[in-house]
Amino acid sequence: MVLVLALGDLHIPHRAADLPAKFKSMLVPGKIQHILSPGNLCIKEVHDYLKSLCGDVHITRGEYDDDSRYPETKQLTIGAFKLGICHGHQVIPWGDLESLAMLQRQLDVDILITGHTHQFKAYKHEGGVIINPGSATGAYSSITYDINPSFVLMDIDGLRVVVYVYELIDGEVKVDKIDFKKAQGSS
Amino acid sequence: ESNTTHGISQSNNKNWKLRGVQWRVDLDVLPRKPAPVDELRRAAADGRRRYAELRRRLLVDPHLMENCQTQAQLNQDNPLSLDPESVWGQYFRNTELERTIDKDLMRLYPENGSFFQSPGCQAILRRILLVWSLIHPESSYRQGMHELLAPLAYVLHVDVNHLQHIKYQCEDRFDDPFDRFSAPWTTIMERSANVSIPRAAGGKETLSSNSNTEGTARLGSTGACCEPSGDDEDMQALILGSDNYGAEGELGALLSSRFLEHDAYCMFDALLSGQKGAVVMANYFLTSSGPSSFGGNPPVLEASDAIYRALAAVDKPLYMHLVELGIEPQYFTLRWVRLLFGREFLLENLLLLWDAIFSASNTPISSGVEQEDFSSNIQYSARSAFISSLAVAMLLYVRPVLLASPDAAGCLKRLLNYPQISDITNLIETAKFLQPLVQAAARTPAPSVPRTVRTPEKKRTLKHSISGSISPPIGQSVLLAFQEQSIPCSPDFLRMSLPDGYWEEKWTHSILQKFISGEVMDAQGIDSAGKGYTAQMTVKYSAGKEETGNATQSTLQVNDQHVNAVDLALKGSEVCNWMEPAGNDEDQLLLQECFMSKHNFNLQKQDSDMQPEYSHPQSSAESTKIAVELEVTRTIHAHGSYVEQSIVQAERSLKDYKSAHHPMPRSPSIASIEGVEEISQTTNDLSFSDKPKPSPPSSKLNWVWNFRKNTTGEKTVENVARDVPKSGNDRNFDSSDLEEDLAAEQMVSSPGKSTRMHNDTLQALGQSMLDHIQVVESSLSWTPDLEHEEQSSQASLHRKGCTAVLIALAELRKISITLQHM
Repeated sequence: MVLVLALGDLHIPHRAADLPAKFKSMLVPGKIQHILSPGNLCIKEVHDYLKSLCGDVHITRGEYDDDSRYPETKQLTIGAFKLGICHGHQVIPWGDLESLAMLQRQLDVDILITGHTHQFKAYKHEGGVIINPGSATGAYSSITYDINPSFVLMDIDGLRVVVYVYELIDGEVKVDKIDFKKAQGSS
Repeated sequence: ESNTTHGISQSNNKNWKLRGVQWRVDLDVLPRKPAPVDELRRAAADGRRRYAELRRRLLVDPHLMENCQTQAQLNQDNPLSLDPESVWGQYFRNTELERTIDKDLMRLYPENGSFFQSPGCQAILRRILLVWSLIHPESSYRQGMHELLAPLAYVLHVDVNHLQHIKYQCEDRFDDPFDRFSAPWTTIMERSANVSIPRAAGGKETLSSNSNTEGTARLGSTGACCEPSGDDEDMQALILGSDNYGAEGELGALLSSRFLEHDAYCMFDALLSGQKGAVVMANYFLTSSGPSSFGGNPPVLEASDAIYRALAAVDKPLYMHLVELGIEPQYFTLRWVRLLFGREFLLENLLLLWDAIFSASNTPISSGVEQEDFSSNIQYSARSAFISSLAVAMLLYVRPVLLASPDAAGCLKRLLNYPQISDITNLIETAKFLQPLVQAAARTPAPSVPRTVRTPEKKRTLKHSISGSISPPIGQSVLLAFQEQSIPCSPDFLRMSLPDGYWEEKWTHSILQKFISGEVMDAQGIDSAGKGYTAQMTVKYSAGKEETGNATQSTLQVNDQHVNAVDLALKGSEVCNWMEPAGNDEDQLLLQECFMSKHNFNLQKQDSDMQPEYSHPQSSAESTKIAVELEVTRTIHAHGSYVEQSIVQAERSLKDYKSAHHPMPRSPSIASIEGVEEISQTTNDLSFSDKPKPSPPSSKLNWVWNFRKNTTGEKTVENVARDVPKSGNDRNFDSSDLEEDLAAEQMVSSPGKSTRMHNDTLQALGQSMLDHIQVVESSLSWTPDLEHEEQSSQASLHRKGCTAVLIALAELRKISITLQHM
């Protein structure tokens, strides 16, 4: 019963001042075991805030990140699942499923977390899952219009992962749930 | 392991032999014995159902939620939801609690870890504790509750195993033969043929010869052991209780491994909630005052006070000693009461203890008149009284150590690390015996012990000495009962970590005290009639060592002759020469002992012309008699190692001490009697020097005069001072301090300052007297341990003597306290 938070593209302080209040009130320490962030936080204060939510924070480099020590991609294993993170601005065309699938095969992960498009997407593809948590602050993006702040919470339990999508639509938090099961015996 | 051998001491007809069932009956989970089996089953089933429902409701797993939740539902029930009603919220709260519980469970009973640390057991305990804590948010989970739960689960587990064992052996009585046939298409012919087999073979339905032989073997064993409990009534009930087709079916089976968790929960809940009884264990975990107590004290403090009240009623000196040291009861009783002594005893002993505790009824005893000033809402029951008396029995067990300890730290050290008791039934018997007293005392307020009171002691001393008993009638009976019940005493207070030179100090003090004490002595003059006593005693002792009876009788004769006045100095040397090296160590000891005791007499005799300050002549005579008897009985019982050790050590120290003051050539007698001889020589000098002296004006200071004169006569002041550090190996501070004190006195040697110096030494000597009393008391309370070896008549004589000793010692104590504060 592992709760993994995925959120990125905050663009604080350049394009947004802070997380929406409602999101902030929901994110309390103690519930979440891991945080994965594709990137573009951009400053250290955001990193510290994420660290305060949970000790285990994994971040990859977005193009506007101040800290240049973040890696381009990251892989980790949680439970029975292999997860991979990459910001996505490196994968052209941006947000293209096939290209991201190539990246997923390259990294050899079950779940790939990417960002950059500031739009929530979740694809079930070739036995794996590609998740884009969107922008947690709803920051401006040149490729997407009408952005709603969103992030993703994954509940990894054995061979099953339940993806909760939290979106701020018209000032209200809406939650959606997607179930993924990993095939038995797949590497 | 078989549970049936652990004695539930009551008759078979009243109690179940299986603890799992008996405890449930005692805790009011199951109905009492005359109930039919069906009722038992129904009660068990009800309890289990309740727990299963609670568990289902409270131990939520969000993963088991419906997959097709509506949008609105999801908004409420996501992992990050702030909604307090949400399943996830509950789940996270439970995890917090679980973490706290796990911290304790991990450390539960590591010594019996094979059961308690197994994951299955831990999971069961965790769930039970979690459910209970969620049901009772006002107390939630407290550390210690897991220790109350653990033995309950354990006895159930043991019982289930035992049942399996019985089932295996008496299979045909437990199984329904028709259950074996799962295939509905067996022909009638086969069925009828097979029916006969289970009866004969007790095996499966195959007709092979193997099964026949196996079956007959099992039948043989079945026939032999299907009365393992020996009680057919219980066996019958057990069989009916385990019948799958009885009331409530499988859920009603009295002992079932499937429902072990449920049963343990029912017991745990009953124990903590008290079941409308007086002892509500859950309250003991509260830190604020319970809802029903006026006094505003948390219930555990009330319980601790009750224990101290009980102690005061049973053993006043010990109570006063503890209170004077400033030991609040809850320092050590908190753990005792909260865990029902779980941490003080091994698991096997604890089970016996809990047998006794639970068998005491918990129904509240209504008080006759409600007192407004005293906290009137505390409820009492037989069980609370038993718990109090058990605590008192435990205190009595370590009584010698407690009394001997000069400060609170020593006492607490012993109480917080309670020694292992090998035979706990003795303790339980003691507690049972004390229970009525405790119950009577429960309502009276505890006696207050003002730290500075001294004068009332004086009056009470005289009164006691006349009546020969301690004023409340309870005390008298308790004393007598002590002897009858042979209250156990911890033998390993001797082996405990006493500071080096502890016994030397004790003995030195005792000698000093006898040497100088002006309190306990005989007002009569030297009784020449006692001259013959010496020879008589020694003869009796040497000859009659093998017969304990003789020694006791001779003791009585000694008593009868009022042996206080013996010019033992002369006799002492005679006896010394007379004492041949005994072949037997014990004989030798005896002789030494009686010699010592006689010299105790003699030393006391030094101040024959002084007026007794506080004591009644009768009491002093008694006490001296008793001192003799004490020494005698000690050796009679021949608790060899201890006595020998202490004697030898004491003699060694005595030798050193004496050599500091009287550097006389050692006689060529046996090494172990050397010290004794020196004493004799010393007393020679003392007695002789005593006579020509005029009686000094102040009676109190007479002994100091004597002592000073003697020591001055023997050595110069410088020698004394020098010898003090030289021979300080085996000696402790007190005796050397004392000598230095005296040396200082002599150096000053001005009568003008004598008063002040005398007071200083008075105090020191008072202290030493007190120590000596403690030693005597300890050895006295320790002797009844070996009573069972004696015949009854001698035991009764001994008992009487011991009673008198106790009284005299109490008086001595008061005297010494007075002395101390002069």
